[in-house]
Amino acid sequence: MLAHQSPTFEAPDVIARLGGDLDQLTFGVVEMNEACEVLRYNRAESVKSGLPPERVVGRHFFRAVAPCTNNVRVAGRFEQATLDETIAYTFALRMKPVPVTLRMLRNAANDHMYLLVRWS
Amino acid sequence: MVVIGGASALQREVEELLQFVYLAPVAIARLDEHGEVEMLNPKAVQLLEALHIDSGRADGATILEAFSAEACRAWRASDGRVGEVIPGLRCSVTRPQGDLIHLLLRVVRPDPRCTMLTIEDITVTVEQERELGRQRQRLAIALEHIRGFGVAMLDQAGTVTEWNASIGRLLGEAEETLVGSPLLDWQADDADGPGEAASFSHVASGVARDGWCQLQAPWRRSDGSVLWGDCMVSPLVDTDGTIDGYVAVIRDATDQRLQSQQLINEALTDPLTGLFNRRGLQKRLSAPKRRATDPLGPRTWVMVDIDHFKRVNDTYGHDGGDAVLKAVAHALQQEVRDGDTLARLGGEEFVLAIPESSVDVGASIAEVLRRRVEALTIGMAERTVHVTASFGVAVQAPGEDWTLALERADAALYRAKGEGRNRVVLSP
Repeated sequence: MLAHQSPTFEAPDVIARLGGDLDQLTFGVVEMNEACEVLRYNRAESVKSGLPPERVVGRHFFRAVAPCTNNVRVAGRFEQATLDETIAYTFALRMKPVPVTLRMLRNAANDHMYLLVRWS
Repeated sequence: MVVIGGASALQREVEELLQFVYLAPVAIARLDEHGEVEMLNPKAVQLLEALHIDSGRADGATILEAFSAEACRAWRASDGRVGEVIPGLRCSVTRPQGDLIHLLLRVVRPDPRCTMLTIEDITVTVEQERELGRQRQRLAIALEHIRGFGVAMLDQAGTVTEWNASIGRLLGEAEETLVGSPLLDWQADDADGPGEAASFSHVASGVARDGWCQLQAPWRRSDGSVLWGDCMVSPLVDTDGTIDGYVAVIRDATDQRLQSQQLINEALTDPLTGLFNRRGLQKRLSAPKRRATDPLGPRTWVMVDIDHFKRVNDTYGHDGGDAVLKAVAHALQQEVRDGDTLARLGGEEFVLAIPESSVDVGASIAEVLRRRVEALTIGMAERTVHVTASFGVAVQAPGEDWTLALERADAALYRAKGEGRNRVVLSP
């Protein structure tokens, strides 16, 4: 099954491949609904942030999980109906400044929004 | 390693702590002894981005430099010393999205090996302060330009803490002179009887009782003149309901005062001669003692009546009569000393009240007056007129009603008329 093959960070059809077990992935995945509430928070992201999914799921991601992304460069981009944009960014993961690459995804066919995080 | 599902109590506390710092609305960062960023929270990333700084790469010096050159200088000058490096420094930056935000930076070095840095977004506070400042300024401009009103802020003891330029103009004083002095010190002595020269405790208890207190008082001006002001004192109430101070609004009521004074004067004065009329005489005699030199005791009364005045009127008309009355009034006035009261009682009748209870003094003054009248040369329409007057003198006995003394003086005057006029007769 295509959806169960591990997608890569850069895969053009990555959204279609995120239906399966996200915890096997080596990069972080944050899946949100249109209200920016976290639906899934994968293991890689959880390990890096130090927060287990149950502390994050259901919360407004930009306001109540990662306020450093609540700006025009990240949260602001998700206001578009379709989005696939990759930027260099810095996260304060467990209070360390960590340079990351963010891939922001939103697709008209799917109500969900995704933030993929790859740290260098 | 995060244990998912079966977190220990300690692990849960660490997670709580992490989330606490992740969501702190203040940017927190820690620098090591080389000034490298060791730790920061998400808010720091967000605010550093506003300063156009990539927090993944920047060191402490870069951050402080971006904040302000002054911050960076203070940081370098502190040279590793432990303690507060920057107790609070503001800067304004334009965020990448174009809006202006205001930040407050604090830097403290608790230990030679680390520096803690906080940055707070104080945009809302600054906007509020500015709005407050604008309001104050508008109010100051409004107060500056109002004329005839003065506003003073007072502390609990009634000492002026602030006042507007208008009140300075009212009193002709500079702000430096006024601030720090008790407001009521600027009250003048009431020139019109014992004033209410209120103490501030009286004002304060009035405010406590009624919520306000009004004073109508004369105020001293720097040039020595007196300003009549209605002063309204209201409390400045603290949030817990206690009176924190007062605001006093003084309205210049000098013009109204002068107008009403003029009306009063007109009612008490004979318009032809400018002397008191009968009501003026009564008012003056019933007025309370104002100065130590004011007479309160018995007086000597001299009644004066112009002889054959009807003839003057018949011969020269009413204008002629008026000219004679004015001339006689003027002549009598020449002998009036401080404390004496001269009034025109009506017709050609005058009275002089002298604050002496000596019939000899009264008689000699009456004689001087008689000669003055006799010596008058009153010019009218190419002719001159000479008149005489008769005088009756009575001394008011201690405790005697002055109207009785006046009646006796009148009786003596009647005798002077009967004895041939142009003479002084003493009441027995």
